[in-house]
Amino acid sequence: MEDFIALSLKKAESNGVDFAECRFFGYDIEQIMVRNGQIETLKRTKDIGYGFRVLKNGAWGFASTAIIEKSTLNEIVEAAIKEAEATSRRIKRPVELTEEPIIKDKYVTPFKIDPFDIEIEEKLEILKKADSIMAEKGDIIKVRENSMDFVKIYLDYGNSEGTLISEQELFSGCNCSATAIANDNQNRNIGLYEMRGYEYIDMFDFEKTSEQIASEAIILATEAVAPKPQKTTFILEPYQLGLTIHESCGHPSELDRVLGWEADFAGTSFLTLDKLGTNYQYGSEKVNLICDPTMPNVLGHEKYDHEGVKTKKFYVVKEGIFNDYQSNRQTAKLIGRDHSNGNARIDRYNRFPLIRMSNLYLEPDPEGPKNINELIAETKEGIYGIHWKSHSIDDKRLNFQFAVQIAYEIKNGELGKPLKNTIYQAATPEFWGGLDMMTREWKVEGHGPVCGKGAPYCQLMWVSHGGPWSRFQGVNIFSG
Amino acid sequence: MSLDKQKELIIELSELALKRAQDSGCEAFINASIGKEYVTRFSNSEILQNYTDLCREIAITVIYKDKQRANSVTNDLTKKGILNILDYLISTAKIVPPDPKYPGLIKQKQQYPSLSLNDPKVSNVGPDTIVDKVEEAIVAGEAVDKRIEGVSGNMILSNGFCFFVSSAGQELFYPTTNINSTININALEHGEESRSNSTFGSRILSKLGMEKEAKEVAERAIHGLGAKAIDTGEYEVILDHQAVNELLCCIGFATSSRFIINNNSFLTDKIGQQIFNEKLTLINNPHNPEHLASRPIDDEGLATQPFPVVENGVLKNYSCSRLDAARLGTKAMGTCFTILGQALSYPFAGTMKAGTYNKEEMISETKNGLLITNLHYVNFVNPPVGSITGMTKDGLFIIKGGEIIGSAKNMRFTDVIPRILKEIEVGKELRQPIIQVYDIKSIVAPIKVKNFRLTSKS
Repeated sequence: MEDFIALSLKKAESNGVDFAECRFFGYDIEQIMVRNGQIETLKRTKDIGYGFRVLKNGAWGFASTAIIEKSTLNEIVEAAIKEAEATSRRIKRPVELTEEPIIKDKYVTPFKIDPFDIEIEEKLEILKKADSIMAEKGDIIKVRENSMDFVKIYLDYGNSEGTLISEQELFSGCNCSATAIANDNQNRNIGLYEMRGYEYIDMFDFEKTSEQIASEAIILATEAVAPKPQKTTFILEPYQLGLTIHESCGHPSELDRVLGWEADFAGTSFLTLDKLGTNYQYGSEKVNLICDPTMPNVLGHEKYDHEGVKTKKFYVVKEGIFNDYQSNRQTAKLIGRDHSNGNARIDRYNRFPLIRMSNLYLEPDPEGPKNINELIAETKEGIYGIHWKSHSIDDKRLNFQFAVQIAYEIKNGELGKPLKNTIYQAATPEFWGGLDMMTREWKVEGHGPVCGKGAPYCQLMWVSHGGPWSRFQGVNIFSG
Repeated sequence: MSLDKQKELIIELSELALKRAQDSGCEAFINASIGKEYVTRFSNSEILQNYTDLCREIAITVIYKDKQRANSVTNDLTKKGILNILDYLISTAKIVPPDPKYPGLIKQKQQYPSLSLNDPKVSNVGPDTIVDKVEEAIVAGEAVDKRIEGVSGNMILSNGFCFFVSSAGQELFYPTTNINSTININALEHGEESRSNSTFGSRILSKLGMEKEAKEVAERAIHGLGAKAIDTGEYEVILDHQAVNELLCCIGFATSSRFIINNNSFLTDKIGQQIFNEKLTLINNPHNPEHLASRPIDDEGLATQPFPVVENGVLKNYSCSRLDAARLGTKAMGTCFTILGQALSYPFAGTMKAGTYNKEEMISETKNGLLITNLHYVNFVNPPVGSITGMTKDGLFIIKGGEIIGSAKNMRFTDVIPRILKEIEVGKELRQPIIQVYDIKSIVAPIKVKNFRLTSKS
């Protein structure tokens, strides 16, 4: 790829561009799902191509193709230049980029076993065993689904400043889902991903997880009750906490949204530019929200972003105060920063990089209770909510309404009866203002390639989130 | 490489793949698409990104002994790449356990309708043509009022062809053009912002009404200034076209066999039942040349066909893949497509039957209500009972005494679909908005809803 990249950059430079970058991007995916004992999905996807982006006359131009032959190079470079020339008719100010260190590096995310080397039979055996564990629960379980996904991502990036990076990522994901029908129709599911190889299958433990998921689906369909509408103390475990972080902190702190660049689809943000550097109170002083793609093995791990910028750890919210945006080279420059925060990412070779979350989590409290049991013991009355069921949030990321799959009442420091159809609704700063206690134990969990952003083509990005088991005061709860 | 050369390559590789499958005792079918796309995105009246993509994709399904299958999608159109994929699919299909319900390769000859789905004139357009279109929208939007702060949006022009071939001898090639756009305009007064939005498309570039749409959107954005807070509660509302499309999308998903099979739909076991008001009729009409989602064939090789989804409020049909149809004991009617990379059956060419009122009459007959132009982030809360939630966005207007008297701040709604559509009137003006995230296009009319629950403030 290095020769190809060098040739393309030389060609662009000879045409008078101010900046050029060539990005090869591809993936191999294997998806296997067993549903009610039958193989529902057995699919391989291979996608690869290259995109070429230039800055000319102060405007971006981009062109891409899946035909990786040197014969296409002239056509693609010329198309990108034509796009830039056309775009320059409709810009208000020329695009400027932050200056970034020149990097030459090759990086492969750490893994022990390449899942693409493992026979299909072995994978099917694990999924069928999980299916049979669910089936043993009886006819009350109407739908059983167990699946595994493996994704290998290839990035080869070079730009006219001299940066040349080769990055390969490998992640694995596992999903268990059970739908029980008795007094009610209820689903319980879990899907987790990590930036690891086939060794993650053992870590996930299909046998234990499928047993737990099926048992809890039965509880939901038989004995769980809907909560009464109330304003109460609400505890979230790391996964659902992560979803709440994703929607109410992650998206509003994306600088492209703030600048109005996502107005045609996802919306804008309440974290407007006037809130930066002015001690804007995002939440209680216990709130420390950190973006850290450098953390190994989490799904959002990445050494370099897709503009060739080295990723770094930074606070989005520090001690309750809004601290910084997620940015790329163009947006960081626009707000006067010296450097990008390294959040530019794409999901396919033929997509323009957007500002995307990677690994965003809530920092645990070193002085808090040790774990969820101690946190519950510290709570006189409230509700403990577990895992994502439904989510919706407004276009400025202020009014959100999320539902959890299963919840439990908390009475006098102990877990009480199970709850179903539990919804919490809040305004972002008020919700985070209610954070009053967190555990010392914490974890980051991979939500899979599920975060949609961008138009007219939606890009799906793989993200991880989490933190400690966290307690919020005065949360509106109801059922639906 | 020109589209014609890529077409030759696709045909050659497909023949190679089918032969490899047949030589190994298997059958196969192949879907392929090749095209050239121009995509642009603009914000605050300037273009952010503008690009060209030479795109291609081939999906191959290999079937062994009619009951065992594996599939793959790739854009690696080299002989080596295709043969590697074939070898993987053949070996995999032979080891997976048979699914007794899987109906195997389609053997019956299909009568594919002849549809005109492309604009021959777009093969010569370039980036400047696209920028001209964006200019039309920006100039028209900004000309409406000085308080217009910026014009945002996007546009995609995709032109190419689709190809289907199977080892049972089915073969279809057809050219296709897809053009669609979103325009989102914000107005600003005394530091307060008001946005409005429109999604629309055309198969013919010259008919894409960027200027007209931008003018309408800008006018709505201006009318939206000065929004007042309103209370939660039940309101009589008029849902305009885009809001209706969001609501019907939820019904579409609820009729998809994936959701029915998974007991994850409020419409499970409800065929033949009166679910909605009798004024609601929704048909899947993939042969209407005006429908932007019209197609002659689905991803499994079935000929598409018109059918009622909801007729006078009665649920008539689900949309099923061939396997799900066999499981449900019903018939697949050519509705299996790929949405966000996942195979899904969906009544993709949804078309509402128009009613008798125009929107102005609906407003004039509303004493105390709201006009909702758009909904945002609509999601199921509890799919088996049909409860959904979402926000109003880009235009919520207060109606008093039969007139729009101002705008309101956005609100969240949480309600159950059959309850929302229990007491309705249907408007007569049909439009075709697009949900870009799923590429779902529907021909819809405004709906007046007697009781619509707004549950929290923004």
